[in-house]
Amino acid sequence: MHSSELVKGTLKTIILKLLKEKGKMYGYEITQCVKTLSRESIQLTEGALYPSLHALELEGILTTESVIVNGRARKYYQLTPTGKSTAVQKIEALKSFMETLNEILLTEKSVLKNI
Amino acid sequence: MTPAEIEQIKSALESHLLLDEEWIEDCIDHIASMIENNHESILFEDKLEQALQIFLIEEMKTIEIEIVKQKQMKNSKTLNVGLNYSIIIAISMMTIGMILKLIHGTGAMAFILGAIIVSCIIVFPLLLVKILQSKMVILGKWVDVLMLVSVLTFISGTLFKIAKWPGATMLMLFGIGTFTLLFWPLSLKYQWNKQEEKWRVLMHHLLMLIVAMMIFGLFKV
Repeated sequence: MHSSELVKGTLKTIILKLLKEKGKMYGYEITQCVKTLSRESIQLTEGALYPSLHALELEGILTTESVIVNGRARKYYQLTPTGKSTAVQKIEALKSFMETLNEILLTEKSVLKNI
Repeated sequence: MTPAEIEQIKSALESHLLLDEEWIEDCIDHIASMIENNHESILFEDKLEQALQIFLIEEMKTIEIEIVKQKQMKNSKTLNVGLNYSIIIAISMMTIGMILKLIHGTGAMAFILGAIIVSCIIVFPLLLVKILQSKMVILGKWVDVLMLVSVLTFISGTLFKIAKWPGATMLMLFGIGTFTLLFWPLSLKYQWNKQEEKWRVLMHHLLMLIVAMMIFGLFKV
């Protein structure tokens, strides 16, 4: 299981990626989707998920749609037109960061000595 | 899920003092989804108990506070933008009006009237909301509100003066009198104690004094 500290910095990008691919999702669905995709190594807590969703909504990146399901209101989150371009940018930025991080982590001792 | 079961989830959430309707709706749907995906052959009450344990219900109040804070920050940003723009518009109109008045140009009064109207219907109400939303101590907050009321009385007096209605001078004198003799010193004292940069407080109040004198001169009170 990955530490929540590591997940924290990438949570918004994970949400944006899922919404970009799936169109619209609700809170519980997001937690289950991440759990399945990460083979249970990332478990999103509600305490981390909902403040991020609300923050993205306030930033104008997400919009919500309430639908009545089984007698209760279900809030679906989806990307706004601005959110779609933000999602692409954030995903690219994270990929690039991961490549850089990988390069640093795979640096061999001999290379480090010459710096 | 039956309405009674949904009501049961809602009661469990409200017993933990959750108040924000939007957040309660999110929580109900989340917990209900957890229960619907729990395929164990146990009672609804037990499933609810399990879901509440996983959901960390005790933490939900903390999250609610965070979400409400985020909303307030967003509202406060919008309020500040609106306030800043309306102040700029009011000051620009007042300045143009005064310049036109000095050079005996036409339309001076229209600009001044426009500035006063913008101040009365936009700037002052927004300022009032901002003061009431602020985290100032009660004394500071009420001194600011009363100060705003006295300024508003003064501004109303100037409107009366322009329209040549009776009681204009009385309103202006009452507004400026309470402001300069009571609220201004109180506000100066409060800000002097609160603000570390004393020069900023002095500059702010000096500027207010100059504007007040200019308005007085303009309307020959």
